[in-house]
Amino acid sequence: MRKIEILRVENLSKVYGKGETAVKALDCVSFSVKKGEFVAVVGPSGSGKSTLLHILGGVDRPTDGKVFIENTDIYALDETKLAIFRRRQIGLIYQFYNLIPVLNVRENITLPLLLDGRKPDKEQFKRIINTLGLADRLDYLPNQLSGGQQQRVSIGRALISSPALMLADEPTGNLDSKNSREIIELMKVFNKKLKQTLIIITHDERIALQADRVMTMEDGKIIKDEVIRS
Amino acid sequence: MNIVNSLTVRQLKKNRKRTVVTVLGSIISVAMITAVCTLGFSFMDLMQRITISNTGEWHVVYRGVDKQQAEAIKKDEAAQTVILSRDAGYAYLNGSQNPSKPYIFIREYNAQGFVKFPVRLIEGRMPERPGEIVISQAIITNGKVNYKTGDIITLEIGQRYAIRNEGMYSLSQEDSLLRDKDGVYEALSKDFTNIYTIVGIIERPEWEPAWSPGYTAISYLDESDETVQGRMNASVILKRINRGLFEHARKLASELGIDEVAFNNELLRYYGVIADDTVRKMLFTLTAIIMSIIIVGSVSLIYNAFAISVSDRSRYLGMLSSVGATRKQKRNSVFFEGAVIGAISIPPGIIAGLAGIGITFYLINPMVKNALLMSENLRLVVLPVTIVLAVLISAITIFVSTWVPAKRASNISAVEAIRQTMDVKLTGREVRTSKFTRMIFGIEGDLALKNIKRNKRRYRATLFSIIISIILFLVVSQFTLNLKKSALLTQNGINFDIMVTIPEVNNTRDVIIESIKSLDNITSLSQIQKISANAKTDAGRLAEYYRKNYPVGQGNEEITFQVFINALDDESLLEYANEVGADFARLKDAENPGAIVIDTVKYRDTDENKYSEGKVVKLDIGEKLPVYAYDGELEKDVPLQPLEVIALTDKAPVGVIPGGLYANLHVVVSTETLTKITAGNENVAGSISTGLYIRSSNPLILQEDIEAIQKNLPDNAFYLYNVYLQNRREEQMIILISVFSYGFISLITAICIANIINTISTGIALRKREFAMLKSVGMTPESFKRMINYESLMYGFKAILFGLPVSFIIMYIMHLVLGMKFSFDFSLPWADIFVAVISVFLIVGTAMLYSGSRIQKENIVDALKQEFT
Repeated sequence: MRKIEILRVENLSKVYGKGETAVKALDCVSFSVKKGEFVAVVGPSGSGKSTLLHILGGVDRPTDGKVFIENTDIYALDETKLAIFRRRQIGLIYQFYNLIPVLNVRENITLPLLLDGRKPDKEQFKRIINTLGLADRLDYLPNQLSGGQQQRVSIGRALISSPALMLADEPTGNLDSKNSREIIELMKVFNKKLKQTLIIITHDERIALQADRVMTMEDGKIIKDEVIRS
Repeated sequence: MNIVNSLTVRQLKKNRKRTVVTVLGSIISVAMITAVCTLGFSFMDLMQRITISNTGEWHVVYRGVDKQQAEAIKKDEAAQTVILSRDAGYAYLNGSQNPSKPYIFIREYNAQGFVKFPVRLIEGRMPERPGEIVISQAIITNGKVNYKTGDIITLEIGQRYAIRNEGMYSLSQEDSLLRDKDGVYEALSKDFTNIYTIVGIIERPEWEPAWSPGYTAISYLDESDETVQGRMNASVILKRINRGLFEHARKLASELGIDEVAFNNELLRYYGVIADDTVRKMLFTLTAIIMSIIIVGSVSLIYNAFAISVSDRSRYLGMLSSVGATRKQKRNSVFFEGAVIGAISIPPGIIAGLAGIGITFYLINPMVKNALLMSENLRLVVLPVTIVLAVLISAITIFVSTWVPAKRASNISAVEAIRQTMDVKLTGREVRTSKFTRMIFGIEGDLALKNIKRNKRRYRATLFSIIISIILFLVVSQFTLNLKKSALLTQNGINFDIMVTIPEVNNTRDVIIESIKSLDNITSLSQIQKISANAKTDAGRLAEYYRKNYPVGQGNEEITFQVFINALDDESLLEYANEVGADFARLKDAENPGAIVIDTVKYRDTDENKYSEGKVVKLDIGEKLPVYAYDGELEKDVPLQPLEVIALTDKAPVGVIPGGLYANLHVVVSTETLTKITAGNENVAGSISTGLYIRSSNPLILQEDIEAIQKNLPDNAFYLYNVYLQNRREEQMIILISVFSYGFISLITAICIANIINTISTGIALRKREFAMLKSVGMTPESFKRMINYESLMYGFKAILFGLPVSFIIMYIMHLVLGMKFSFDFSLPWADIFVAVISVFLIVGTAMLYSGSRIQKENIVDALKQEFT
């Protein structure tokens, strides 16, 4: 089956600062990702991978270039429309979980829907929380959970609105090896079973090798883009 | 500076805005503390000067001293100045036209006495040697004895004695001339004769009682004169005034064999040396209350600021802990922060406080002098003790505020700080909200409510600030409103500017009336002759409330009650009769005496505790009301001709004030009728008083002109009451109180606003990361604003929910305590409540929106990366 293009990046650049102190975090990056792909972005510190992810996630604006997600030029949208687009079409997972402390597990997971004024599909919700192993923790607050559990909540939140893209910035950076493995496995499950397009930033080679495609970045450019498994 | 303190200073610099807000709030509170201290001392200073100007400057007086004793007193190391005086006695004032004042009263002072005692020279000079005398101007203007400067007078001086069956006893200036219908029953001894040269004329001294029988004259005291020995008074101005002065004076008196020693308590109380003095107690209590309110507000602000600061610095403190900082070091870092804030804010606070009070005095002095009829201005008194007190109280306030945060800081462990779990140790129950919240207000409202619930302490501190402001503002507004209502009440029914009362019918009455009528600035003048009488009716016809004043009469027995008969001049009577629909010609028919009865009045029913309007007594038109008047000579009521009721009304003419606190029956008749019904009895006719009720285009000038007429007449010829001036004084008094009250409130509110801004803006800043999370998950800017708005609304509503009822309760208690329930009904200051409510939402909303908008502009990624720096 021919996979459709879900993400297209054209000549993306990001410069921080001005004049002599200007730093080019991204330098004219272009690529595309098909629906259902699992892409790992690797590279040394300062290579621009996090910057790339944040721009793809709509939380940081590029200096130049365009990002199309499901054929929508996301940076042509105003702030409100972008926020709405973000909650419906993009799922972001961070290294430090970034859960809302006053919302319990159920509320943290369904937050994108709540912001949209929608109720979650009961079946979908049940499937997600069962897969994540959070069924008996739904009323817990983030401070009552372990790191691994918090990251699962974060994954659940990223998936609940069935977004076009799931983006993860070092999702296992704050976890022990056992939890790390479990998290990656969960993400792979969602990628395979639900055809969830997944882009992960990682410095961990083992994780990178589990992806379908690995993009290597250096000095703000993609220096290698390798399909590992089709 | 050690590293911990150095870090503290850097943190203060980094959070500049919060530091500035905290410092500003502290400055305001130090300024207020300084202002209260200064006000207290300045007020005491004012009262000292007023008392000195009225009664002279002296602290202790030794009575009946001789020359040796006077010398010893002068040598006393506690004495700064010794004024010697003597009351030489009385002499007949030949030619005095005032039968109540047949004497000259001669007092003698030494040189210091003329300086220190309030003697105001109009003409000439003060006596400098024995044989010279100054006389009171009243001798000339009132006694009509034409003395002038340069005259030589011979006076036979002695003492006054009462002559009664009980024997003879001496009299002083406090005793008026003893006389009854048989004449004067006192006598003057002839002790010695003196020849005086009049060297000057003085104003009548303040200390000469109005009823005293002797006009004051002051001569020079010859200390060496044998006749004065043992009869001098030594009034001492002390070098230092302290509590020990009483014992010292009594000891000295005992040593010198002086029997009588007295103290100028009226002055000394304003130095705070009199134990159990009511003035001192009241001032101290008032100062303590005001100071407490200031301290509570300040502690709330400063505590909050430090709590936030500790929370902010918890990561650093934890790290310090991990490298070996002790609890004491961590705790002291907070105290150090307090010291820095104190050092920055106390000096400018004191200057601001002093300047503020100085400016306030300058602005209100004209009003104060007029409203409170004071002869002196308030002046800024800055004593070292003021500064010391202000510094001490401010320092203690700051220390108390930092105590709990300091303890908390000392307990921060390395692990807690790094994990940043301290602030978010929540349970589900704590942040649980109802389903309806989300249903009605959406996720934004739900988040807002949860945010408020998460940090109860901070939330309560902010809420407390807002509530205190609401309560203070409303209570003071109510207080001022009540004052205005009371003033209006006393002015109620009074529609004239000046009232002149001529107490008895005498040969000067017509002269007075004609003189006054001829003055300028009179818009209208109503002349009313009044007499107090009694009337009889069946008890059942009297109003229930009114009947309670009389011990007899519950059924239909005849009862006597008070009636005021008011006779109007023709012009006023015609106007009044037309107004109430009575027959003017009928009223003028003195052969058939008739009256308009004001039977319906507004009165305060003290039993049912409300304002009522009703008939004082049930009378019918055409009915004849029997009236009786008191004959002072016969000492009983004598019947006058009955008055026929011509009309019944609830309206009163100018000058007649029925109703009020006690209902009275007023009737209005013509002058012919009053003359007719009292014609049969000279004593009754003689007791008719005349009142002139004047509306004026310039009441102040008119008053001066009337007083000029009064000067040429005996005392008690008539009484002048300037209602206009009185009303103006009352208004100014209210303005004064309002200025101080609202000024105080504004400053306290400023402290509270600083507190609110600090808390809210910091609370929002601490949630930067959280807000970034929400935005990254897809919260739109509008949604974010809605969430912030809901949070401010919730603060506002909660504050009002608590603040308003508490304010109402305090207002009601104040209403009861101040006795105003007897004057008017309790009512709420709705306009001010509205202002308070709006202000609360404005302040909280502005603080939140401003802080929120700054967050809004922040980059999501940068905010997410922040690690609680």
